Amino acid sequence: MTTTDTKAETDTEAPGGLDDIDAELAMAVVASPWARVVARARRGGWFSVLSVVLGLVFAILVIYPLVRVLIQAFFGDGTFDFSIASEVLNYPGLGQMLLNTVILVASSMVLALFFGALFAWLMERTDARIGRLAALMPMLPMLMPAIAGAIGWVFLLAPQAGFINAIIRAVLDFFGVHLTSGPLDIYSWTGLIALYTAYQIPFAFLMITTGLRNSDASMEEASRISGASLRHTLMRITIPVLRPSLGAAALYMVWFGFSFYSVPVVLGTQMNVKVLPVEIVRLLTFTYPSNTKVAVGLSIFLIIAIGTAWYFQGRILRSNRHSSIGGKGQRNSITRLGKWRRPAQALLVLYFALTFVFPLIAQILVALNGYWTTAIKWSALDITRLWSGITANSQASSAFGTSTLLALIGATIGMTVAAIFALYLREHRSRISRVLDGVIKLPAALSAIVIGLGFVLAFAGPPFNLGNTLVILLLCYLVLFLPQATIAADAAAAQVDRQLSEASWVSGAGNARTFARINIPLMIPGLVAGWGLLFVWMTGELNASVMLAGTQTPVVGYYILQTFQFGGFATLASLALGLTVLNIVVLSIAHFIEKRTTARGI
Amino acid sequence: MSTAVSERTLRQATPDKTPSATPALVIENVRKEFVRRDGTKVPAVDNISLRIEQGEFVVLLGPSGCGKTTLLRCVAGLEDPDSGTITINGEQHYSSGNRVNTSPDKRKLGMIFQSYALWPHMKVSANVAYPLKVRGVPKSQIRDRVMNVLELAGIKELAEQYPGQLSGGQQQRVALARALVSNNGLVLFDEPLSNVDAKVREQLRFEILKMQSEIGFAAVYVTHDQDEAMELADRIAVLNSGKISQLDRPEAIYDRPADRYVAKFVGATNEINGVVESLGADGAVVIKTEAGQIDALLGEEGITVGDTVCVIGRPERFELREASAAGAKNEWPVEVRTTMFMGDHRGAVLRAKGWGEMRVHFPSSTDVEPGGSLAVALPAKFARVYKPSSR
Repeated sequence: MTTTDTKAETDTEAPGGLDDIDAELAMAVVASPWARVVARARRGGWFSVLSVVLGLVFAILVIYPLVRVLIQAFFGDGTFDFSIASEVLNYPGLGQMLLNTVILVASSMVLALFFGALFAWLMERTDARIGRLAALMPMLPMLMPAIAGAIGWVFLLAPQAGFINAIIRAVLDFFGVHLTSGPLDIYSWTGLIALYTAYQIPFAFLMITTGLRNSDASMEEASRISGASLRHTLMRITIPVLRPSLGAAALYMVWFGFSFYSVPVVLGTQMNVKVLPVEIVRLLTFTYPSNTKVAVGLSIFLIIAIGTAWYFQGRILRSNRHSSIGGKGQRNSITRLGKWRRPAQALLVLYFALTFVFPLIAQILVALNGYWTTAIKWSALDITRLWSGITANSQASSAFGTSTLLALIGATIGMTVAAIFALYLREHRSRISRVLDGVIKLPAALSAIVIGLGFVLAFAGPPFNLGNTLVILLLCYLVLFLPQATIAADAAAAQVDRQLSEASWVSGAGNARTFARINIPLMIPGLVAGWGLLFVWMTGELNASVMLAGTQTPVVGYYILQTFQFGGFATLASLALGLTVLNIVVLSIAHFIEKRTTARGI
Repeated sequence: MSTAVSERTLRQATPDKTPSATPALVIENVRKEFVRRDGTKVPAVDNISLRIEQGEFVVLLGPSGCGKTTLLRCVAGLEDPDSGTITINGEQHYSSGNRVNTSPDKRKLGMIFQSYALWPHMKVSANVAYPLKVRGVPKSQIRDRVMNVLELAGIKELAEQYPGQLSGGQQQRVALARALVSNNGLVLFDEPLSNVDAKVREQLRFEILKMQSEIGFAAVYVTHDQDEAMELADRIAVLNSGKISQLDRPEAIYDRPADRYVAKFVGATNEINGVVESLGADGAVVIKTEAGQIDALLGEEGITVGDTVCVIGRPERFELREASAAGAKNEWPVEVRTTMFMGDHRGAVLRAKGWGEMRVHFPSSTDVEPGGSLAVALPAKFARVYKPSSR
């Protein structure tokens, strides 16, 4: 060949892999990492220093409590011994408790995966899709926190006073069957598993929906055209392609299930069914003197369970590396369900009613009535009582106020720190910053129970003496939710082209100014959405709050549990309702702002 | 090529870039290494030195991965070199020896990004005012200066629009205005025209030159497009694997490439391998090839008798003629494979003994029939001889 097309040649001559990551790796190699970080930080001005310091502070806040948990577990009395191990292993009822936990997690996982996948498929690939519900479904656990939902279902299905039971009994009465209690009982294994499942479905739905959206429907169409039946296509194409999403959902459920506290504490305590997270909290908080040693020992089981799940998740992801799904964003074809369309839609609506509408109605009824009874005097319902459970009870209102305040401060600090750190990380991918990022995201891989436990060990006593203060709650919330905050901020930062900040920098603006004038305004939609989620998670936080809150610092989750144990049902209903309404309002506002700022053409 | 002519006249109108004044930019021995994933080090910028006078337009030309963008980003301060010095208007901004490394906001440059990097949440006027605002220019002056530069860029009426409402060409003008509104006479261009369509690109090139002649800034312009480089540059630096292969005026780069890499990168080429038979005066050589003896000129130093070399001729330097019976020197009978009408010229794919398939350009007013018996001739001064693989 003697003639050369210049442009074709240039493309093939380009050495691959000379991207930014390599550049930063080079930096980490060339000089000692610390010297580099310091030099870069100094060059970037005080704002870079601030970013690194914030990263360090939060990394320490994550690591130190965990170290304290491990020290307590293995060197409880100052020397390395196995006394804790033997104490834990000989703990009465340990085997039964672990078995209970595993049964609950495993059974609800299978059910939730099934329903989550079914719902996702109905919504994404069939004409049974209900648009509004599809958007709402993943948000359900945030709209009504599990603790509020669980209490709602107790109101509905308690054997004697449950509203649904009363209705069923009235109907049966009409046919001459007389019952004094039941026939349904929420305080049962069925009830327990049903609620575990109900609260896991949204996560399965979300992850499988994402998987379906990213996978190309033409793969399924190709299978159908090749002559495979719908069932065969499902087994051979759809499910294998979705394996990573299914795996991710399963992992999430193990993580979620092993630290799920609200439902088992509400139902299990009454049934005398012990599960791991409830027992850990009980030993630490509701026993006197508290049995820290065993609580810490038990938490190791939690860590092992979650760690194992992570290991398998990694295996699944690695084994699926070849099946990168090449969705070209074509319009996915819609399967027509024919006569099954209406029943399928009814099923979707029923799920929504069961997890949201019915418990909400129960909460409203109990609150309006002033006390919990099946003999509701409809004429005597008082609208002013709706909130009186909160307003008339000084402890309840202070708990509500404290939670709102903590969530306002916490979500704001959390998103700000996350935004600063996300941007820093984007511009400075050194080894150190990556380690910091990993550490800050670590709590997402651990149980809130373990983090809360660590905070009690690390900060409640001397030298910090932060026990019973708002500070310890705030710090713990920040550590717990910073992973989610940074994920939201990373996504928001990814929306902003790096050259936009470089253009500002070259224009003569320093890092801080670029952050304030360019990055923050452009990231606002994503940050607001993240802020809303953080707020909701913080107001509804239960696991760590139960361990860290006290009478001086009541928060809603803690106070709801207390009230549940002592039976102030009207207050309970008001609190659950108040929390639900607050969440809906905050998420709606966040959604509105997000939409408006996005619509501005950014 | 009518625009090219008017640009040349424009360029002559600009004052002479005399080396006596403080240079706009001096780059000395700048080096920047990347480490690949497998651990091998790759010098993206390999000890490059470059001096750019006030008001001079220098284009860094090369394929992707040759280090041109990395070098530009080092100048802007967006990338840290490993060693060397960078001096802007006599002020040292990077020096590995003196441990100087200022941040980009201290370098007072104008820069135009590949993606334009207009801030979507600010109006056009606010985008352009931003560099003035952050540099503490009094408010009273800002508006006038913004309007002036917008007028110069021909987009005064777009001042109150948001970037999202503009076309690609308009966005490019805003980016240009923003880079020009406040700088110390040095503007960096990072492949700014690669995202607009061909027609707009041509128009914008012309306007960049016009604005340069009116304002008189020095420019470092990165591109992989040789036409763009030819049209814009006072001097072109052709980069190859982090090194400057040749730094010269566009005519020299095209007509007298320094090595085979430059010859092949800038413009199309026909090549044939051979062995040096004899060396004459003034670089005249005779090369023995499969196509017979070729009279040629030495393209680079260090070639002696007996060396295996490569003879390169550009498609438009070949002359198409009726095959002469005798078979003159540097003339080869050819078989016409295909011809292509390209508007301003015609391209033909020919087959000649020894050359294999070759591409030849000739005026579009003439035409040849495929299968006809013709010959092409390459005058010795356009047959340049290079080492087969430079570096």
